[in-house]
Amino acid sequence: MELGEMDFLCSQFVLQIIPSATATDSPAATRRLYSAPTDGRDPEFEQDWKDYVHPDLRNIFRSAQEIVEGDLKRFKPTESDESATLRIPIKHLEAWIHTLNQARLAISAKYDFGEEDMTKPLSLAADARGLALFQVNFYGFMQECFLQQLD
Amino acid sequence: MAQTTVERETKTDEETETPWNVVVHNDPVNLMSYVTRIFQLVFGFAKPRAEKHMMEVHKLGRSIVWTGERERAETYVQQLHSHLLLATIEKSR
Repeated sequence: MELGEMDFLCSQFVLQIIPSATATDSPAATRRLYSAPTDGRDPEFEQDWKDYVHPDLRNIFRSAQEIVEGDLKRFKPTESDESATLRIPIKHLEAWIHTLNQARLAISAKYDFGEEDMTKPLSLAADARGLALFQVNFYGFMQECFLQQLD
Repeated sequence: MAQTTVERETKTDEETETPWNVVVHNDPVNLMSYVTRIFQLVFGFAKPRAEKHMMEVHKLGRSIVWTGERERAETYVQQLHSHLLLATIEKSR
């Protein structure tokens, strides 16, 4: 599958998928990626969940990231490129959809995006929060394209 | 003669008999098409049923997607978490 006619900004967002998905600097992002199974109602069970389930989840997330990382090694846009093209094998789309989701959720948790942010008309704001919202929406567009391809 | 102590982990009647719900909660970030797809993948729902639950999550804030014995409910929650949906387990009333 190909995603073409990407301008420099969008191609930079593509290159930021992995760092965004692994946002280890944000406790809010970590909490969202590893959510609680009882919403705090059963602390003992939740501790067991952290001890036994979270390591498996980390492996699942990491496996998807590794596939995306491999595809991104062949994606080298330059500032002079007016339209870069991202090529992804169809069998890697599930991993892309998953990793894009990790990135969208991590960024959204970090900036505390809510329903109102996600539904307002898209504009490219100059501040970090506005840029992050644009990034989340761009990743959503990519996810939608990939999901349609698999449908 | 040494005595052997058998430690047995027993589940209470309440744990084994009470049905448990798998609940998926609304999240403004996950795409509706993505949530539908995950319901199809995890529970084997046909698309209309998966969409019905997705819309319930979207409009009502939560949807009970499965009810049954606790161990299986935990497995489903784990699978949903592996796809990054907000899911919890709770006792069925």
